[in-house]
Amino acid sequence: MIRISHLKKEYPNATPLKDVNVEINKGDVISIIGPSGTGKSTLIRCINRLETPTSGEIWVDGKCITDKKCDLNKVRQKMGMVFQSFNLFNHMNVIENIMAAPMDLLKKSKQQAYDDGMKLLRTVGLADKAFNYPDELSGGQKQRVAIARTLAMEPEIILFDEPTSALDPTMVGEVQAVIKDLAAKGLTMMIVTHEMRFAKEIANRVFYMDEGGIYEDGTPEQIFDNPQKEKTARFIKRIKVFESTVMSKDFDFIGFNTSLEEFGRRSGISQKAIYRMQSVFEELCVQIVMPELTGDFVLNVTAEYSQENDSVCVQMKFSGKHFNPMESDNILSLRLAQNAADSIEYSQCDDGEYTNLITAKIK
Amino acid sequence: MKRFFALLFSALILLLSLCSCSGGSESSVSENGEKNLVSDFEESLESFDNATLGVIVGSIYDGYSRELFPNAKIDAYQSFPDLFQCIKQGKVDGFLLDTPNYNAARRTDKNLSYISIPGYSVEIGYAFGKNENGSNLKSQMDEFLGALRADGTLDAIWDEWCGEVEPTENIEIPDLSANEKELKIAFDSSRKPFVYMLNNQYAGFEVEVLYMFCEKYGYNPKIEDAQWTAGVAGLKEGKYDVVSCGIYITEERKESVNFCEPYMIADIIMVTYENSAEKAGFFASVKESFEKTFIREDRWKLIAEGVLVTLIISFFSVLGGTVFGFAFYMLSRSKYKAISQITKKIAKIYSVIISGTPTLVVLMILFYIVFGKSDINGITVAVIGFVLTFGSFVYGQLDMTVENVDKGQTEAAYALGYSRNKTFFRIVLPQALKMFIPAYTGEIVGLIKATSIVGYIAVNDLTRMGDIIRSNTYEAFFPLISVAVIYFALTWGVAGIFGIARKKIDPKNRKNKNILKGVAR
Repeated sequence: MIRISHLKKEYPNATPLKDVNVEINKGDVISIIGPSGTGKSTLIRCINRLETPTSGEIWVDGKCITDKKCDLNKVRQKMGMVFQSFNLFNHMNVIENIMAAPMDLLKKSKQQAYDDGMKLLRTVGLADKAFNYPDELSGGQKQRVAIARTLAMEPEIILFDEPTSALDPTMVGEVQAVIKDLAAKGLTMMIVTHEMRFAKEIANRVFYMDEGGIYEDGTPEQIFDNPQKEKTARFIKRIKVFESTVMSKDFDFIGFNTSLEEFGRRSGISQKAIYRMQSVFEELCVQIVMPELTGDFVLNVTAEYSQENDSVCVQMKFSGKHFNPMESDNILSLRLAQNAADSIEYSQCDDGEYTNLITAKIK
Repeated sequence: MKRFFALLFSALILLLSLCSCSGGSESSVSENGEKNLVSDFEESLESFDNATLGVIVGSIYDGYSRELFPNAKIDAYQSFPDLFQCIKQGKVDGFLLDTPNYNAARRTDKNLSYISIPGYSVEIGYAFGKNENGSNLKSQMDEFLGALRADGTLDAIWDEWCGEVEPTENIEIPDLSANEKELKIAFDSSRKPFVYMLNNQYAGFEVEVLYMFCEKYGYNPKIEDAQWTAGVAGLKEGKYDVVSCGIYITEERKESVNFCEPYMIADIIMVTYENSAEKAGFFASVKESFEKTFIREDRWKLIAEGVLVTLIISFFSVLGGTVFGFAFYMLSRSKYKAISQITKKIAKIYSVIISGTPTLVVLMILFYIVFGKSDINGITVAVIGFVLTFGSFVYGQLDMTVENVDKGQTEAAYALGYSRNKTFFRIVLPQALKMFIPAYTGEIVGLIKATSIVGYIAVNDLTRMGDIIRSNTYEAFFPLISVAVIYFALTWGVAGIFGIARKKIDPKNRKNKNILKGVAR
């Protein structure tokens, strides 16, 4: 359905895409993952020509859309796009946003556009917001309307450019659910995302992008559980395992908590579990262990999510004299930590400079 | 809020009127009524030694005043009516003037008085262009004036207009439209008693003589009303053949203008003012002033004409400027890079030039230089000038507001399959307009007020009509206040209309049933 050959995109000070060659089949649902700055968004923006490729060819349905004579507007009508920042038309209400393009471009009657629009709104669960304006909606609602607007043009392909990145964690789920429904209907889709669990669940094919192209292309199982290439493996490990080292009592506590939360969201850990991880760290490390530490110290925290038993294992290692936090006088903090975690175990260890090890399991 | 402004405004008017009326009564009445009749020049000179004297900017009186009264403080004003107003309010103690001008003012205010200054006089005449045509006309006029003088007609006409009695009858203007030769005349109707408006028709000494001249020599007069400075500048460009404004003949002016032999050499006098003991009550004087400004000779018609001219200029300037600016902006969005880049460059240079030049100067350049030789009238030139400046604003503002619409809006429209043009008109422009209209309204209000400068290029707009009435009545209060009130009303009305329009086009103020008109739900 889409064939890309020798696609290159160059900016004055960066070349995100050096040489992309790929074929996308009808019905493919493709997750595009990879570190930032590796051209994930650039690739799908080239496919609907919001970006003009520097060189190379893109064929859609047998038409070369990189050809100057190609009627881009016609191609785009068959190829929807959902943006990170929603981009609903601010001067139109919800139903008008959905009706506009079918009426203006497909010459649908107003009645037809309205009926179809309301049907779509019902499928995304927002029929009661038909007469609200975009600035009266939450982020998740906006994105669902944007998806309905795209669907109103009855596209054969939909490109999603980080559809949940601008959303509150609480709203990610509702949008992902709508996209999953679409995948089930057999639409061809390409989704750039940082939500790894979502990427794995929804796709039948995953592109890991790096080094200016599609570095590894495989099934979700291959990419996430058994990556064949070095950089993919490193990336997957990094998103699966959180690691941070604290060397001062004046460390950036808020920054630490934020990166812990980002890790949780990437791995698809529930908001509750993320909160529990945070409180285990705060009570055990900050409230109990740190006051006991004197002079220079090293405290290392790792967290790893295991999909099989849907739990997180947090390991906290620290230097200095042996100290069992379970025997701390700070009963309140200890209680809070024990409530948050499923189990907490302490052991002495001899791992370089680290002499103590706490292992907490969180569901 | 509106009520507050209305209140503030009326309070302001009341305050102004009190000031203007009390100003006169401040100066005390002289005990010695004969003082002003002292004809001993030396003595009177001393009495003005440390006085404040008024002069017209750049007039011969400036030099004479400094020569005669080296110690006096000299204040410069724009016109004779200003001077009469100032002497009434005691801002100046006296000013030099020619007798015919004095006589005309004295008719309306008996408190004016004078001291003669022997040995000083001015020559008054018509001004022609410094070219062949002008020289021919000058010789004809000299011949004609010689004949009139010889049979005593000239003196009779002079006495009729420049004496102490206010003329009430208009000139019977002969129908000369059948004559083939055109004579382009610039009248400055703020120059009583030479040229002015009587019953809303041209009247005065120069007007009567000039019509007789046209009749005798077979000219078809083509009249335009122009402030005399505009008229004289128009002579050089051939816009006018003759300027009639009771102009003083000076050596310096002779260098650029062809004067006829003076029809009159008038004495220069020192005008003074004495408040009479009996003073009309406040309301009586306001009433009289009002009557003079609006009712007498149907002068309100002049104001109405002025309002119409101001509205015409404003309307067409806004319309033309909007179309011009918009068209230019669309060119700058052209999909052909060459066109859009050139347009943008031109627009950039153009806006720097226009915004760095006072509109008045732009208008004068257009009137005297660009269209100097052509027959275009002042109103058209004014509209062209304001279209140029307003267009520059519209372009700049469109550019800015469109730029301010989030790029994502355009991308979303493209992604749905909208073409460039459809995206602009359907998605981007409606959102830009919301930001555009408030600035646009402000600019229109500014433009209406800015049109008050068109008097300089021979257009009788509202401000200029106020000046003409002022030069006729020698009253400042009502002409100025009424002009101010009318401008206020015009701009307020425009701002109000656009305020409503802005609400109307705000999509959020639409009713749901109108949005989905014709849809069964």
